[in-house]
Amino acid sequence: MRKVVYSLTNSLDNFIARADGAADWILMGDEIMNEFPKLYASFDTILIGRKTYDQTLLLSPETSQEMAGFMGMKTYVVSRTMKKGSKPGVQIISDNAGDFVRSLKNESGKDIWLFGGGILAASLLRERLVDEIGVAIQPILLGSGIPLFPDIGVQVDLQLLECKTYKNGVVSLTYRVKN
Amino acid sequence: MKASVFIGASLDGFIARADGALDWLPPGGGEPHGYDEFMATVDALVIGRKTFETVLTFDTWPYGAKPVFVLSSRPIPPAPVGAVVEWMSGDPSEIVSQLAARGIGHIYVDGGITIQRFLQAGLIQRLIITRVPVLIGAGIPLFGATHRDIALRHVATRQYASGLVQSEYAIDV
Repeated sequence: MRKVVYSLTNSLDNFIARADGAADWILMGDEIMNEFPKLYASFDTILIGRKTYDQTLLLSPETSQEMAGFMGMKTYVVSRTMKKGSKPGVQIISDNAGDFVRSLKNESGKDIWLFGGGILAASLLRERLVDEIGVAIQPILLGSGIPLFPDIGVQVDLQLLECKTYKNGVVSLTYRVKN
Repeated sequence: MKASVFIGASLDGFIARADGALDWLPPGGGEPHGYDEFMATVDALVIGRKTFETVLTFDTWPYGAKPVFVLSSRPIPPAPVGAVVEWMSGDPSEIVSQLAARGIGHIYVDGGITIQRFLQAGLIQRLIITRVPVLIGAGIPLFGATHRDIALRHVATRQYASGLVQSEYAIDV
């Protein structure tokens, strides 16, 4: 079965963006950028909440055409308000995201990148549909912003798969979710 | 004077369940991950009232004869026999200057609110956070709101066989 992987970068205090969506605090560098092709190659599908989708487009208007279809990946946006067919290359899931993801996992294909936001991730964690969590912890405290794990409400046990440290101070951790 | 934090947290950033419960931590605190070595470098602890009350419920007093300063705006319950406990109140900078004047060189700041107040005041120089491989979903958060970004310098990250990951950060002023 295909895995659903919640993989993002976050501040040490677990924010994925400032309150306005800004990502100006994120350190990248060649060492991390060089790993992206391998990461991207493991996915062919993106699953994303509507707010995060809008913010991601706003952050990179110059690439918005490309991002609209997230680098050629099949893109599903979870939204109650977006109209079907309103964005080229994007499919809208308007209700029962859990059921949809359950059937998506049974289709053949590469893994599914759960790109946030936290609210979508929390609901899929509660439904035990997330298989892996990857956090790339940035060396900063933001003090406020959009949370990585908002109100999950249930306990989720994890198993550490990988721990990697980068020269710029980013610590990347990968966990398997014990569902 | 130097102030450090040494604490365990769930991956979702909680240091205890909402009622203070620590049942999600590995039994016995997990495999050795440097606590004794860290404690050996510390002259005194600075904890909040809630942490003090939690520690009072433990079977044994965990700090030996190490001085423990409990921050509270009102008087605190009596400490067990043999414990060295003193009640203090005031803002973090007052506490730091009082303790420094008494010759204390390195304090261990513990407890959610107390850590947050000292961080906010720019008075923490070292953060040692041990991530436990679990999301507990709700509870007492390690970090709180700050009025500004706090830049950290990553010093080291250590991985333990049971899945604990300990990261050490310096806060340079």
